[in-house]
Amino acid sequence: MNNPLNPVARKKGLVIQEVPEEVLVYDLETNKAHCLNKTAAMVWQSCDGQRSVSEIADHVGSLAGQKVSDELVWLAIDQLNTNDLLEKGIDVDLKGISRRDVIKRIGITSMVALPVIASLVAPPTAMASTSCNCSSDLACQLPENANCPSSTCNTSGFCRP
Amino acid sequence: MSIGRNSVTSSLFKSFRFESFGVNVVVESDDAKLLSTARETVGDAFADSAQIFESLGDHPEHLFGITREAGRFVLYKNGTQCESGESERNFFNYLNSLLRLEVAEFAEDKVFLHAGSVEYNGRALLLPGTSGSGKSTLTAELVRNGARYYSDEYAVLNSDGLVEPFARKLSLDSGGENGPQNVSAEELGGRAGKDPIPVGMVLFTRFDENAEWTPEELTAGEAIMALIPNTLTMRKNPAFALKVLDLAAQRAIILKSPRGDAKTFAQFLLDFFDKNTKLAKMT
Repeated sequence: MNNPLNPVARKKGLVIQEVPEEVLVYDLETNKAHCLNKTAAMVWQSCDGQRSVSEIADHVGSLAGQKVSDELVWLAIDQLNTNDLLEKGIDVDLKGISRRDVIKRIGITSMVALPVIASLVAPPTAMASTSCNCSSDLACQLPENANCPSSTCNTSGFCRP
Repeated sequence: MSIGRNSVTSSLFKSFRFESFGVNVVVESDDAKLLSTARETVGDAFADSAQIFESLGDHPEHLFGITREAGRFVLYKNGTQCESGESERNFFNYLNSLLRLEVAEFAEDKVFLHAGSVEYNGRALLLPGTSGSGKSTLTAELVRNGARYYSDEYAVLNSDGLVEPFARKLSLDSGGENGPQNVSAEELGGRAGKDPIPVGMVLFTRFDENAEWTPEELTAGEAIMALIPNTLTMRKNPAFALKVLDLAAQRAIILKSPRGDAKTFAQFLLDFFDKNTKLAKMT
């Protein structure tokens, strides 16, 4: 039975691609791609609504073969919250300690890597195919953009006639 | 009658169809000279990667119309005017870009990356990057030094993560007022590749005259994240794109480093590529 206070990994509207040591997650609603390192991925995959934060720490610890603290799990949940990768937001409980100090403390005491989630927004097609360097209508008239075949470009650097 | 839509059967309009990477595109015009230039544009844009047909097919889904109105060149896409301009050169350059983009976006079982690519000893070297990063210059130097040419602007990955050729002429900065010059692999003293090949290395690099070669290896996840901004169909079919990028990255060494002048760097890079991809094969 799920406890409503326990974190639940979001699955709807996501494309998940597991690669060695990392998990890539693409959010179809926001067109954001996230790369979860191994620690963040283990925490995320352990968020089944049945485990509390302490139980997630134990579970991840057993997977990693190292002791994992609640603080490390909270750090991961903090990032999962920020990136909308949980069913609903969880109030992060760092016991009044700043994130920076938690990171320092975990960095010294933990054998398990800090959880990291890198994110970016996938560009629209035209932006991924920029045909010149121009970033505005006038930029294509600058000497450094002499290669641009146009005299008016749109803001995604796509040369206009 | 609207040009570029429902007009394909009218004798008022002349048209042709081309097929590239499984995408069928019809181009039509009420001006024979414009249509002839459009046909040359398709040849420039796709080289051997497109076949041109006189028959239009049953249900053309991608329809472009070109005409002249009040002294301007006007482009229609599926019946809607999308651009116009006074300069014929700029107009057809734009059409060239747009047709390639259309194919890249709608090729269902391919992933198009903004990247140069060459083959060396059976494996592909991918050089992702936007225009201005120097990838065409480096690609040309690699071809001059013995690599086989695969692509200048768009590298094409198939559903197995293999690189397919898209060997249109390289667009090289001539330093003159006329803009980039189009040069074939043969004109560089090289050859273009024909067969799908596995990726041996992906190198994220950018020209910097004071740069030192300091390669840093990326994890598969980091590499795919770095490739996403260069992936044209990411938003259209992210599940397929991620799967293909993963397949490509699994077999490859993925590095990033700035580089110096392409002329001196090219042979060094091919030696480095050869040595390291052979080592990777062995392990």
